[in-house]
Amino acid sequence: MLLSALAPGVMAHVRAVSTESGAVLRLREMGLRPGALVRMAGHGAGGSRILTIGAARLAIDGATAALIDVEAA
Amino acid sequence: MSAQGDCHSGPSRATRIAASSGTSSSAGAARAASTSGTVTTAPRMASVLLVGNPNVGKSTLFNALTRARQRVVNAPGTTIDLAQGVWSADGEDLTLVDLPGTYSLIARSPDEQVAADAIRDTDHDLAVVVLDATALSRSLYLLGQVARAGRSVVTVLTMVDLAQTRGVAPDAVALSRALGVPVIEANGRTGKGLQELARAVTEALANPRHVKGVAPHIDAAILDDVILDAAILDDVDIERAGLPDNLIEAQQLFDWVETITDAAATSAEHRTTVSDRLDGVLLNPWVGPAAFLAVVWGVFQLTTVVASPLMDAVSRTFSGPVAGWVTSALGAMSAPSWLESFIVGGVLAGVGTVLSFVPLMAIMFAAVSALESTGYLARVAVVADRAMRALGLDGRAMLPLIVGFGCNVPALSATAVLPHARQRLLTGLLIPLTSCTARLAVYLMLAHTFFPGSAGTVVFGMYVASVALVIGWGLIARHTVMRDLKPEPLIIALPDYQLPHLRTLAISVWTRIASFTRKAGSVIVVAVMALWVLQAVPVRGGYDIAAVPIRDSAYGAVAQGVAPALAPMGLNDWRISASLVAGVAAKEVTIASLAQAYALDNAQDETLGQQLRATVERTSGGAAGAAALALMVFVLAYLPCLATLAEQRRIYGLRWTAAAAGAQLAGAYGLAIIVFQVGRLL
Repeated sequence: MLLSALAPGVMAHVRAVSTESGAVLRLREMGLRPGALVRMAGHGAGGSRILTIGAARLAIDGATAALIDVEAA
Repeated sequence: MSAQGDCHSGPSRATRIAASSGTSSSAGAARAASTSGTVTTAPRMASVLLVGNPNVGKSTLFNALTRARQRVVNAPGTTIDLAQGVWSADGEDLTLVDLPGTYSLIARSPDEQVAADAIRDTDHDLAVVVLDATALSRSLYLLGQVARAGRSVVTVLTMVDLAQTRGVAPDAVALSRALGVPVIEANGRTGKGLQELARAVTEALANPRHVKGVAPHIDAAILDDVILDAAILDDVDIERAGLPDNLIEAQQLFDWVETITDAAATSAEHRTTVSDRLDGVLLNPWVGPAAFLAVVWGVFQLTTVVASPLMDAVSRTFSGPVAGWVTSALGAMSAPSWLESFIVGGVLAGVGTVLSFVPLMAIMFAAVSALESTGYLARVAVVADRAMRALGLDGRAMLPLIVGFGCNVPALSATAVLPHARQRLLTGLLIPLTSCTARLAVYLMLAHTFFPGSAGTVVFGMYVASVALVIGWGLIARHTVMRDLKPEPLIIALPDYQLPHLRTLAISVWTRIASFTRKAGSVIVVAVMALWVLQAVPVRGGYDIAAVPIRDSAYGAVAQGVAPALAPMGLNDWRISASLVAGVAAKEVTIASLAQAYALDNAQDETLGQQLRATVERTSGGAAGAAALALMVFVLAYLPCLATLAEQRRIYGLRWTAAAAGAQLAGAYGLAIIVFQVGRLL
């Protein structure tokens, strides 16, 4: 399933990211690496997605979240 | 708690100084000095870089370490601000450089490039890498890149208290053991750990430390495995991606980061914190934008309602008591009247102008710094992202643009909240198109004079035109000089909310005000003095210097020379052109200059509005309304005031400032002509 479709409070493992390389690298640098466990904290303003990875919180836009394939944990 | 066990050592600084003696730029280089024919060498002050992700407490640490012994400098070859200070570390003075916050040394913006270049620059002796205890994995990745650059390292662990509340505080001793470099727990707000940090740094300068497990070069045998792993773990086509080396090197570091976090980090079940609850409100799709507008409104009020009386008080002090004292003093010394006029009307007026901006700038800097240190600005990037994306800008650009409607000068300073230099530049070039309150006085006077029945609608229309100009120029810039500025995906870390630290805030405000008064202030003073000279020098009529009517001064001659250029917009009159020239000095004096020109030129007892209307009726051939609208559009768009130009030059350099001013003037001229020529046909 896509990260953008993950409901608030649900956890999932990142499977793959299908976007251009610069964004892939930045997503990985920010912790969204294959295998990473993420929690959807909420859907924010402007279609953004608020995530937690461990204790770190991250916001990404909805379009980018729709390029990340996840598997419910 | 601090941990310094099992550290890897490298060549000492003393050794490197000896080895590099005779060169002026290498690490630990000796400074050569010639005394009485003999060449002696002395060690220069060691240079230490402060490196870390954004919002990890790096600048708070920098301020705590350097206190007021700091200044803002430009990064080499750029207009990017760097804070540089002197740190008395364990009895030794060191140069400490606060690098722009970055997540990676694979730079995606000029700011990140500055950090990456500094790390690779061998002129610096040591990197202090700040590790965020709440996001250790992300910080370790950056540390790995710094280590890969071959840089000697000491690490600082910050945000430990926040990590403890989330149950994820890492074990500093285990971390130091795993990394092979000192790990100092420190807090710039409380001063905790700063002595230990100073000691660790001076020791590392004498005996450099390098991170374990990160080789400066990629091992070829490992490479193949990493390529395979990356391909299996992710669907990315590495060849197609165009950055294979970066992805491969990054993957190596991610593997290394995992081994370190396995050794030192703790994991815990998710705990809902205050920050989570606040984000639930402030990032809410409905409440978030409303809260953002409320915050912007508050900042706008601060820069207008609160700062305005303070600015007026400073101006009044200079034009009243200070000018009186100086006049008396010069009179007592029997100084010639032109000198008295120059000192009071040129020098004092210039200094007064600069100082009148200080309260406004201080309030703006304090407000923006406070918003940044609370962690709220990262949320602004999220809330306003969609609105600013079309211009290729970060959501945070919305804040300075809105502040610009109060005053352009502090708005330019507020662009510092943007993380990318190109975005700061574009925002800074658009700010002069936001209609500041000083321009409002001009609109009101013209609207009441020429459109008495619909003055409110006309003034409102000018604000709509201002927004349209910002969007229009922004789109033009994005498709011409800013083609490289493409909308990027929003990927932003959200730091925990914190209360601002007052001492850090005060030092930051002081440093920025000092930079403004030193750099922009000197330009403003010189420009105001030049304006005085133009107004004081007679070009005809045999008047004495500083006792000449405007019409017969060099200033009047310039205005008369410019006036014919205003004919296509129906405004060929020297008094109007004189007021427009004066408006470049300060928008506030546009109307005053007009009144001054009429008072000198026409002794009839008519109001300024009536006289102006009569003039424009004549110059426009009966289409006074169209000409008045053209004048308002021109005032909105032609050139910002001197203070804005000086601040633009300080931040973006002369080339960009001059080019933007030229483009703006040409655009405003064309637009005003269109408004008049179309308007008179209607």
